[in-house]
Amino acid sequence: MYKFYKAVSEQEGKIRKRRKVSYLPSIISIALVLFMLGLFGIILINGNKLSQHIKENFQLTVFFNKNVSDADALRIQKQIAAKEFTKDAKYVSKDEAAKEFTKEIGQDFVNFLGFNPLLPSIELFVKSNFATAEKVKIIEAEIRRMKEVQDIVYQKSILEDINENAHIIGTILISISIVFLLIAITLINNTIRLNLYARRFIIKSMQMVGATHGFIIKPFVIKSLLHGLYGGIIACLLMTGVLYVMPLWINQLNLLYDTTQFALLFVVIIIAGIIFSMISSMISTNHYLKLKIDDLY
Amino acid sequence: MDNVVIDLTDVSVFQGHNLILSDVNIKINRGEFVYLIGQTGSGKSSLLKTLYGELFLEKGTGSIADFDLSKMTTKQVPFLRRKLGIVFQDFQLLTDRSVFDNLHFVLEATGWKNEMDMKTRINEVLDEVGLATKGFKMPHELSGGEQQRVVIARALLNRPEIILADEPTGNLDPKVSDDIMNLLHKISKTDASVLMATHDYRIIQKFPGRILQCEGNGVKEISSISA
Repeated sequence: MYKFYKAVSEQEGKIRKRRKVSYLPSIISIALVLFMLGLFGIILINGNKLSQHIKENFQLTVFFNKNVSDADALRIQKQIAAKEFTKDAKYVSKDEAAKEFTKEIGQDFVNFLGFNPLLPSIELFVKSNFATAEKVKIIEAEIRRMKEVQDIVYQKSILEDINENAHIIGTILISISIVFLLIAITLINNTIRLNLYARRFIIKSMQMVGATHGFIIKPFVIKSLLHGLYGGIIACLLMTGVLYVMPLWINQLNLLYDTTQFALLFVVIIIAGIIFSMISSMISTNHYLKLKIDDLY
Repeated sequence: MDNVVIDLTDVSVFQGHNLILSDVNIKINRGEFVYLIGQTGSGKSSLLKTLYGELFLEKGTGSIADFDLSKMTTKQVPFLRRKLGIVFQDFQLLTDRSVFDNLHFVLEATGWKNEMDMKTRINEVLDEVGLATKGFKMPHELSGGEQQRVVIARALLNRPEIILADEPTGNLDPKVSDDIMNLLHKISKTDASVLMATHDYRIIQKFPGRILQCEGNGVKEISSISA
């Protein structure tokens, strides 16, 4: 009797191995689809970062009246730096501006003129979510109200261009991501449906011996949960590889990397894999449970 | 009345909207061995389907193993099937697991909890069908006759009141068919009634029993067949 059980358990081990091999293609399919989705997620995150980067490099220059003292100008600079729209505000004194300008034109114009005609200024960079034409206009008005400020200068058309392009690219990316999501759902659903199609007679046989629907569905759903999980993990490993390799091709790309957002993306990809595959296995198993015997052929 | 395990009164059997059989009146008692014969398409399978809850009873009254067929719901079907043993060609074994696991699945699915009891019961039924040493085999490693024995062993697990068999000897050679018939007859004497659909007149002559014939939209009892 002992020998018999031993033989049984040995054989069970072998069978389990065999079963895992037959599920490998479906895990790989799920992994590849999630990888595709993840790659797009990476593009989306980096694209967003890039547009933020460009917007936050958009410069406004605030000029002070020529008789404003350094102390007053610095006070204003502190005020502006504390505003919620400010990303960075750098004070440039008259002398610094002159040095800068001298370097640019290659001539000591202060000596030539006998005085420094330049005004002290602030180089203001606004946060990306304030870098739109309307919001900048409001910021401009607010700063102009300060009596120490003579003028505020920026290139309106560039701002409009940046925003228009960002809007167009954003719309395109979101449309593509919806399409990608649909493709991912369809492919995972098909993979799992094929898996269950191959087992439709097994499902019917289970019904014939008196197993309840819940009892039959449970192992299929658990299995697909695991497949989604494995697929998600494989996809994340592939994505990690891509994140390492990409900066080798595109210089300084890793400066845009946002580890928190990538971690979030990985979690989302794994959860998406689990949920997609669980739901489709539930639907497919249910479908075969409800089919009449004659409809199976 | 306790002795009656299948009782159909004025039953009509529909397949979709088509009337297959009408005015069916059948009583089968505990321990009886009953053949169901008739040409292909005469309604044998549909009648069996009605008995195991694949088709619902729409007209007439019927009971099987204390289940009221006219009040059957989808939820109840699994519990009806636990009191039946189903031996069909189409519903072969679960091909993805060993004989032992096939039987184990049934016990698990029907609420057995104790692992030791399950092993004991599996060995009992395998022994009963003469396959005590084949539990570790995969279904495809067995011959047709052996597979059919496993299906019978599976049907016996929950000590059913009735065995429903649809062409259980359909693909088997005469020698193996006789073995299966001996097994089914033995079961009908000790465990359960057997209702068996078949084409095989040779078997009916060799292993006599009650005969029900499906013909012309009805079922009638006949005393013998002319082959």
